[in-house]
Amino acid sequence: MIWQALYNGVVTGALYALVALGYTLIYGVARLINFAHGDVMMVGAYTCLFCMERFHLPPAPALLAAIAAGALIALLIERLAVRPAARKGDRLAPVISTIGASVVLQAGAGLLFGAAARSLPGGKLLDPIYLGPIQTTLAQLSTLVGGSVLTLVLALFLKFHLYGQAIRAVADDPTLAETVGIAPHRIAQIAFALSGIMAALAGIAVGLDSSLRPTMGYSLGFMGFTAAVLGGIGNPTGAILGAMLVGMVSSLTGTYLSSAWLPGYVFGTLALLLLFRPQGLLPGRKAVAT
Amino acid sequence: MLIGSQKRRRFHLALALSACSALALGLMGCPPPANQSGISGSPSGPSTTLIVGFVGPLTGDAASFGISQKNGIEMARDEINAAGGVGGSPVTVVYEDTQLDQNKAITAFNKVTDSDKATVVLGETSSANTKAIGPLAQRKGVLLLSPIASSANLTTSGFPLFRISPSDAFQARIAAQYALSRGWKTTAILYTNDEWGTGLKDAFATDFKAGGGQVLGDTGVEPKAQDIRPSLTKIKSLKPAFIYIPMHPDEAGVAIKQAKQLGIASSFLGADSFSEPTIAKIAGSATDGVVYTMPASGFGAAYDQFAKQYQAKFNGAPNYNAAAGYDALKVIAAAAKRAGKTDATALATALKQTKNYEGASGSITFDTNGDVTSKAFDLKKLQNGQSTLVQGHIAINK
Repeated sequence: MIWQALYNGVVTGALYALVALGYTLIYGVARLINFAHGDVMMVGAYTCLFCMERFHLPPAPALLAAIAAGALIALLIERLAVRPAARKGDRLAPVISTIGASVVLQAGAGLLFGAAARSLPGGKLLDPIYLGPIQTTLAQLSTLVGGSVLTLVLALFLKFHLYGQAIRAVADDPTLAETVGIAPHRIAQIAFALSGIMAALAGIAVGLDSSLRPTMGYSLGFMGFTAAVLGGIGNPTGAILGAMLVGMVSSLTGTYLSSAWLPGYVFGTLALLLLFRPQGLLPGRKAVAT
Repeated sequence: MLIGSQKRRRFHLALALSACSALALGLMGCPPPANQSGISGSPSGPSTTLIVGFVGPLTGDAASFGISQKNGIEMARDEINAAGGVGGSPVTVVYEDTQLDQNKAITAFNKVTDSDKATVVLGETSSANTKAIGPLAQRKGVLLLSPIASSANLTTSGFPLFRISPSDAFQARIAAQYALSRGWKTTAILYTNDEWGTGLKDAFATDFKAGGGQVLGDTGVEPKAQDIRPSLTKIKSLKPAFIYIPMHPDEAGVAIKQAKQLGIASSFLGADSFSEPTIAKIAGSATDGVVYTMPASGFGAAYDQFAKQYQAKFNGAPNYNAAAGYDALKVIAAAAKRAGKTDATALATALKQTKNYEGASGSITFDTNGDVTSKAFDLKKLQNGQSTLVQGHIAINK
């Protein structure tokens, strides 16, 4: 049982990492928590379902369409909700604006697809696979491997690619970045698009493994957000560590205690950690640039 | 913890709200005494008009539950009014949406009772929200009748409540009897941690143990949980003969789907939530063979007539929730006619005299707690997303 519980924790952690990285990237460049981030996951998952059901697309093109939709919606949130609100110089307005975007997306999905929960057709992806003491599925393995590869690619991008370096520069000091010719809103767009792509993939993973419904982004978003704060918001490595911690806490408390009070355990961990390390596991956004 | 403090905050809010409304009532002075002299003539004064408030989810995740009830209530209202209404004046029903949110339920309850002057409230849809508005109804002297809230805990919650759906204590007993009759001796219970789920879990455990069964363990999840693997991992290690699963459709679908992924071989025994197509939509063929208990409906002349008219009006077959909404308003109108008054006390006394009323949702007789004791349950089995009858019309012998 312990191996299964640990494995469940790692897979859940890989999933939460995809979400947490989105929060942390956006926080780094735009200094705001995007409360519609969870809903971008939902849009990705529903786009995939819609393409497969309505247009009978095979899984691969449906997946690409979902990724495109995730990036597009994230960009629209940046353009329509965040940027106009941020223009007035108020730090709080864009955050409230993303809450508005979240409500609009949830209501829109409810109108288009109905409030009832659905599921992405998994087929053989959901058949049990036995690896020693562990039961898994191809869907879970894809989440684990895909999530890790994507995280690695993101890390390399931030480190070596020109735009990745620009993201780190803006996160470190937006004014200085601007004086050397980096347009902060262009960089913000890249960060939003990246976060949208990762969110869409996370949404599809949840839709396959579990279910999708218009409000699915709420609880998943909060798990990802908690992970990002645990890790030190603005720090991608911290987000991954935070996600692993949240995944493990969810799995171990759920298996050995009870899932009934899951949010309590997760937020309890957050409260305890912040008591001793107010900056999170790793230092916050400054460290992005080091 | 967070949840506890939220509950406490809600409680305080409820307290503050009710204190405010009590104060307001006090300032306005006591309502004028009803005309009790029985002067001959038309009893169609404002005091005899029956105003009913519906408090339930009409939008949001649980909208389908509220809309079915509303459809049933609308049909009943039209029939009653076409036949002359109550006391010579038409019955009015006002609807307030709660989105199944506890705070919104309290606001909605206050709106229909304070602003619309309803003396009867139909609601809420969930047992937890019914428990939230119950004390308010008691304090305001409003008659509360929930068409479909069914938690076993509501019987002993300490406020007056009438229900059209039988208490879950009965369906838990029928589930336990079925499991024992199959020779299943050990179980683990996977439940939704709310009023409804814990009520069924406790009632089932009591009856199953009393019949010689053994409960190896239980584990709850929060409503709308999307990852049930941790709980399933625990249950798998217990190796029960079957898993009793009083969960709402969203969690139940995910639980059955992920149980298959984890290679769990135990059978599932479910509750009335399994009549919702959502479960098969989430879990697909993994739901094949799941047996569940369901309040019996779809029989008798009253149901046939209801179903025919429902089909004509809404262009679809009615479900249990629609039948319960329909019966709720019908028994209240019948009670108001018997009492000749529409105040909550008179209505409650008259409602308790309801005996063997043949409704669309089955026969209705209330006991002193306001619970129906005259209904029956069906055992049904899921196959390819469709329910087939295993055993019909099992009477509840209280």
